[in-house]
Amino acid sequence: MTDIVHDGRYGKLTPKELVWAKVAWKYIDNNTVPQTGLVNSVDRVPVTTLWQIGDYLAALVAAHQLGLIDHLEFDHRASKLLDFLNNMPLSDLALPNRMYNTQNGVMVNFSNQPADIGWSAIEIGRLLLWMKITGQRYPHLREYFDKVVLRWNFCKVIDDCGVLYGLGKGEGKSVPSQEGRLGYLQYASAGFAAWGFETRKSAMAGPVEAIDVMGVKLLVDARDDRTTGAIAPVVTMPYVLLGMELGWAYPRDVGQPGHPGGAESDGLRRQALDVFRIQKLRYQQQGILTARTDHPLSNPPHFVQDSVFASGYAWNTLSEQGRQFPAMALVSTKAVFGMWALTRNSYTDRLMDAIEPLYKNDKGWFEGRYENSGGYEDLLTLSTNSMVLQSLLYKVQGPMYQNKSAVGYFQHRLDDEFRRPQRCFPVEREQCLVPVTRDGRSFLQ
Amino acid sequence: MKFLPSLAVAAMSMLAMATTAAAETANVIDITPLPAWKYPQRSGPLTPRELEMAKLCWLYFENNYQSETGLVNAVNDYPSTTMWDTASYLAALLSARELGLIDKAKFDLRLMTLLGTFTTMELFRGEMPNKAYHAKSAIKVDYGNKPREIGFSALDIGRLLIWFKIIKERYPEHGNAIDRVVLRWDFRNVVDKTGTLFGANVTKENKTEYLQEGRLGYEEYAAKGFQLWGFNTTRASMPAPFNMIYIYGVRVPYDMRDPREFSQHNYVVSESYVLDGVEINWDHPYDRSTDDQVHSQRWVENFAHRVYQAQENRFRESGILTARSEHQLDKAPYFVYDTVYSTGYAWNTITDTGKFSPEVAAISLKAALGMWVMWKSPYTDLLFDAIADNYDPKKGYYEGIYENGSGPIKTQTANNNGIMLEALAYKVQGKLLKWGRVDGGLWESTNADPFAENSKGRPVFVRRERQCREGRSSSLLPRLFAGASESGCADDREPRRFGSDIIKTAFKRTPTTSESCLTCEDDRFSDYSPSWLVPPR
Repeated sequence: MTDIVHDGRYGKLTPKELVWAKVAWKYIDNNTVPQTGLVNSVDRVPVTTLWQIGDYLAALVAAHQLGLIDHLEFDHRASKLLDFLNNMPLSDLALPNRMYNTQNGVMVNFSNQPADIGWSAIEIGRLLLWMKITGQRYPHLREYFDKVVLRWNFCKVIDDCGVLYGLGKGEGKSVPSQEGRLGYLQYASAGFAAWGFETRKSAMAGPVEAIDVMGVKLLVDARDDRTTGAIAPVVTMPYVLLGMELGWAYPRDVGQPGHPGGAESDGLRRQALDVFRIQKLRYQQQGILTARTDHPLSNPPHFVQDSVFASGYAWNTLSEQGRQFPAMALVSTKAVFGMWALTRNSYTDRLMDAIEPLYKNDKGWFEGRYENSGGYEDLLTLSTNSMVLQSLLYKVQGPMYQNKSAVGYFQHRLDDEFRRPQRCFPVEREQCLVPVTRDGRSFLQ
Repeated sequence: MKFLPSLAVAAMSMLAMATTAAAETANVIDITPLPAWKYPQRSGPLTPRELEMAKLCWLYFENNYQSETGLVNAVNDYPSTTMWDTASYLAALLSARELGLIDKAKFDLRLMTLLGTFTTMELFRGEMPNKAYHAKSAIKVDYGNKPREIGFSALDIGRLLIWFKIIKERYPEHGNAIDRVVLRWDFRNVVDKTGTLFGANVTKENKTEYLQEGRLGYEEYAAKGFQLWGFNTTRASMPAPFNMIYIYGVRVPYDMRDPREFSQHNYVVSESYVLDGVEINWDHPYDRSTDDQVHSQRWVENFAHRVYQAQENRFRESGILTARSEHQLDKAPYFVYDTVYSTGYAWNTITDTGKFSPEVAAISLKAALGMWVMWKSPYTDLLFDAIADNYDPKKGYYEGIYENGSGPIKTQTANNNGIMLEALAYKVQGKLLKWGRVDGGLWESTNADPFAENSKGRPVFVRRERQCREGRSSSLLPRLFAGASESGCADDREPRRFGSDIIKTAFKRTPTTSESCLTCEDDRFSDYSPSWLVPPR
């Protein structure tokens, strides 16, 4: 479906776009740590999360596909990373920790002190998806990505029906909790599904309700953040990633003409386009240039959910604790690039005009432009620079995931019932008894 | 539509499916697909069970009457009251009289005692009634019932004005006293030239601070009180600014002024729409038609049906009997706004400081009975059965029934028992604002005197042009200046009907008589195209 025509922009890179790509790669070049092969998540800050290891893989594939690096450099970098992934210390001896130090590769906490703090199922989902995509595109490395996954223990991170659980560890306690809300949850579950896990309960739109934003009926997660403590914001990035990597289809539907899942995959596409459209309508109706997503900041509170809708309000900008920081809203560089690549219209052109100058040749792309002042948020992050590369790759090639069915090491190990890993891999699980709904309440399945 | 905002229940009843589906496809202005639209109001004589209910409600006002002042405690055995609760008492008093629970002598005595208190009691800084008074002494108090002046509430006063008007129209013999009460008040800071309502607070520096008061529902309801007394309330009476949120397949309107920027929360509850229905029949305030099946203020009717339908649908889909309003509690935090929607969340229950308190959500008895009378449906039959026996035989009806199953809210209030009584009176008589024969009175004539000093922000009245014999017309001004006969017609010797030539024209956008304004809100409504008018995909 996507080989010739895909959503949004397509075609060769213009000279200007090639410069954009080179600037983004500059960040990665500057921040690659030779000892581990990892890349700093923020400029010169020697830590990375699992999510950003996924970002790095995406950037690496994009840089090679766009011709910014040759095959030799690609292989050197990818192999160094594989060496890390296959030897990294695991939280609870089961799954990757939330954060690692990029200089020595040990598990660290948010203050960069050595500690086992548990895992994030959402971040693991992104890395899983990109290990799958990289393995598909570079068959000579596929076996080694399979081995990374086979080291892990999936018993606690996902249940038989696909509910995802994070683990928080600290002060001698370890607390598992359901993780993920509409948007990132569907994205992360697609990562698990790419490796054959049953994810119907996460892929379904689950408990949702419709709200009216700028006249558009938008689906939001109905789980109540007042009782669960987890904010469920509607932001741009999960829908950008789902579009760019999967063409808004579920892994098994990717590349199938007309999607056997049909309407359900359309539901995801529609939600994504609504999220984009609402931001465009805000510009048209109120004159505020809008490209919102969750993003880090150089000043306190250091991270905000800069949302289209969250906790009962449209255009809510919340810290992780749920406090409001309306002055911290950004026209986010990564959200602009994502929407620019995925939708081709005068609004995304306009967004790009506003974001285009936000880089330094020798540093990389900035995080964004403040909505209330026009000033720059000049924080440099791996996620933003990786998204620039990913967006440009999308323009040239379309969605990144390819549904190739060749059997590899992973499948051989699971098929051999005497050598199964015994760590809750797909074939080792009970069947999920939750019916696959076809009545319109599911997003994807 | 594909994505119903539904619960994760495996089987939804076909009925509920049909309801939500119909609601989904509805044009947002059009409410005809909502079952609520088809339910008629209840009307007819009270059954013995309903009469028993009315008597139990009135019991509260027997127990809590303060004979010194004529006021009634707002909460059982707690001698403090507000203007809102006093209006609810007036509603109870009139309803008790109309339902035959008390005789005319008792009605007159109680009303005259109360009005006597109103003509002498101290106002907040000489302007308007204070937010709260001690019920025994009629001294200005704070909400802790300690002597202090704390400001005034335009919403409370608006409701009181509605009830003064209803009583004045039904019992014109009390019109003079009522008008003198209202003539004492200083309206300059309550309604401004744009027709916005303001309440008053006292700052830490002891200064008076005037803040816009009222949100969708209550704001327009209270504005009707001011309109009935001739004030221009253009901006307060507009439904805008509002937006719609989907709740169980129904688009429910809410005030879109952002509670994060303003100190006021927005509340969607049954009460404001029920009161508007029972007292004004969802009509324009000047509508004198007596057909209760026609609601001339169509947007109010429309919104009321939506608020009702969301609650019925919640019961159909979740099994939770729902009739939401603000209400008292028998334990801390003692008062909550128990809403259909507020500050970003459906079925939000919050204290006045905004603290989320879902454990005290309740079926509000006044909301339930109000819904019962305005919508004759199987759902409200069920609500009636749920609430009918939740009373203390010595004290009156309880405030509500906790949704979490922990029984009744064991407290009684004037507001709850008063609104229940007026709902029962609506069943017997229909719209409670019954226009009397007498058109105009002391209020109107005082405010029509062009030489009277109008220093208190009251509306200006002019005398209606009358058709004189032989085709000549007249008005007040030519009579005054041309030395015409009393009626304004040079040769008209017929005695004119008392006061009948006085009408309200203050601050009007259309320079004709009030009747021509009957549809102006709807005209504006049709010009008004808010974002939610975008056709559904």
